[in-house]
Amino acid sequence: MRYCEKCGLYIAGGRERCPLCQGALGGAHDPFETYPKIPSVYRQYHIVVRIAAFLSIVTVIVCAAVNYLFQNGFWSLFVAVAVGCLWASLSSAIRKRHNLPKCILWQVVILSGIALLWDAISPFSPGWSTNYFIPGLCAFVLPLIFVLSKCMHIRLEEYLIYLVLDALFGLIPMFFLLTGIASIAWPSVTCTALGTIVFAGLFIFADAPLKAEIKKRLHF
Amino acid sequence: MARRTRPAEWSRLDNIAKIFPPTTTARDPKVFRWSCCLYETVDPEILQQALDKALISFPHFKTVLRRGLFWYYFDASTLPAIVHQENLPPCAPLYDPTRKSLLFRVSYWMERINFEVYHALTDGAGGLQFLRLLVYEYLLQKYAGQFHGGAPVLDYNVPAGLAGLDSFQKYYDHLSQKKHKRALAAYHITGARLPEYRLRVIQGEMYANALLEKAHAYHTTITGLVCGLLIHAIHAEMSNLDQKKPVVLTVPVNLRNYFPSGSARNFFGIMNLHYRFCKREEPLEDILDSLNSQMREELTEEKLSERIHFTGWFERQYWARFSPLALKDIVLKQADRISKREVTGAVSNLGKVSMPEPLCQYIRSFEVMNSTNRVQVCLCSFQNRLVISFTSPFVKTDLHTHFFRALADMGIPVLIRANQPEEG
Repeated sequence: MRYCEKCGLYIAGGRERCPLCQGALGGAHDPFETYPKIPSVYRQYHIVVRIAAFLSIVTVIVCAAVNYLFQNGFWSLFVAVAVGCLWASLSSAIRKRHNLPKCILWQVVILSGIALLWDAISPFSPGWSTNYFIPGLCAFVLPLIFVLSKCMHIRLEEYLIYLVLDALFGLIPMFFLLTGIASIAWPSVTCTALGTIVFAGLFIFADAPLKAEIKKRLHF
Repeated sequence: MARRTRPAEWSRLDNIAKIFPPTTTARDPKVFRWSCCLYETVDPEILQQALDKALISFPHFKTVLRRGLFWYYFDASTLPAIVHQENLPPCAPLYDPTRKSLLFRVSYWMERINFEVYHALTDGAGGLQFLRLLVYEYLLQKYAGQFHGGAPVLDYNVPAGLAGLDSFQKYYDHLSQKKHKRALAAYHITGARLPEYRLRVIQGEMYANALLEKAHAYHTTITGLVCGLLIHAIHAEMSNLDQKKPVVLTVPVNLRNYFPSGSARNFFGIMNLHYRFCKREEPLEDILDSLNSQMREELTEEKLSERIHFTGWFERQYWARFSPLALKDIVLKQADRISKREVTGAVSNLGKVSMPEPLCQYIRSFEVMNSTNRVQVCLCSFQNRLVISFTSPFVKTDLHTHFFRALADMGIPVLIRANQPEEG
């Protein structure tokens, strides 16, 4: 135990200076520290992510500059939107990486939004997003969540809700079809059929966990 | 498949706990720490066994926090609770919305056992019950052969199910509903902050009877004296312009002392003590007199039950209950920001800690501290050892110096323990 003359206080631990007034200490050293020294960890984003972010910005600026100098339409806007879409998807994936089923479900929503956006702004074969992309994505993700969760030994309770939400999302293409937004029937019908089958399966094989999960998530 | 998996248990957050998840930030992770210092180096293996045993009585601690559509909830978890050597700054964050993790950690350093817990899970008194049980199990295991007249008995005997009960629900009575009076913005301590949102911890250990004698000499209580000294210390660094604003200290009150409850969840109310400076030199006696009369006024059953009513009010509003969690988060964040404007710092007296008599010989002291965005003083005593833990996120130590020197000047010998947040 050491003593600080200036403060009139006894100081524990093996330090040379008073933690309060930074003055020199008298008395004998204590053999051990009262608190461990914790090394600094600068929790910044990984260098790869930072390089990618920087390159994205450089790409957008260079394209805009070239576009302006040659005055050939507004193609650089498409580049900017594309980079924005890429980062919307990527940043969600990075943030939610610890919960794989949730991460996948968010990708479904984000990619569907991106598809709708591109369908609207690009002149090529309008309607591809509602006709093929969204139903296809929903239908593809249902078995994906199930298989990946099984492979990674994720408990049923933990991925159940995402399976349900994706099946619900899979009903939207049917809405597209019925309102005439989508014109080609087979992808939407397949997706909705698959979603309904998953629902039926969950109700029959996992009714108790399903009810419990819904009660938990929707309690008010 | 379904028949074999038992639906996992879940529980709601208690009334006060609801404010913590939306307002948890890297700056203020809402984590508090209870520690127990022994007289010998802690044995990690025995500590692990003690932790496993203690968790049997506190099953609601083995949970993770999750988001529902309308509210947060605790979801039972099978994640293992592992003791480890202290390797993080004190009160390091526990709740990370992006990953599922337990909301408490048990670590050891030399002769000290630390129990850190996320505030949504329990309050200071509830956390203490857990640490007492942990230390009890540890010492029982370690000195199994020493207790001849049978093992000592810990006086906390709430059935495992009851410890998880929400006592706010029990004492809520929606008859009287008082409006919260809007207070003036309080003085805020400013200054450079430590890197990585680290917390500066400076603790003073002293004899409880020496401090109590001094408090009595000033005709006040230990809480009153500590609040007075803190306000006095804060005043020392205020400019004349700052003096226009009052210094306001939040003091949590353990409602278990007023309303019988064995809950290990949150069950506390708060009172705000304020002091407005008129002169450059304000004697400590004047501050203490003012605090005394405020405490007499606030610490009545009526006043305290008003608090319960107020906290119960929000979650009984239909508009609040049925708005999605994302919206609630925004509202609660704002409410918290406003209430923070009215506060300079906090003082929390957790009182006397008791352990079964045969175990006391192995225990040196108990201490408690809380993460904070401003300044926070927490104190508790064990036998005749009282530890005041001063936490702040600031680089400067003027406040601490002023506070502890004042105690030394009163003739109370103080032993200082401090972490070194700048080094590493």
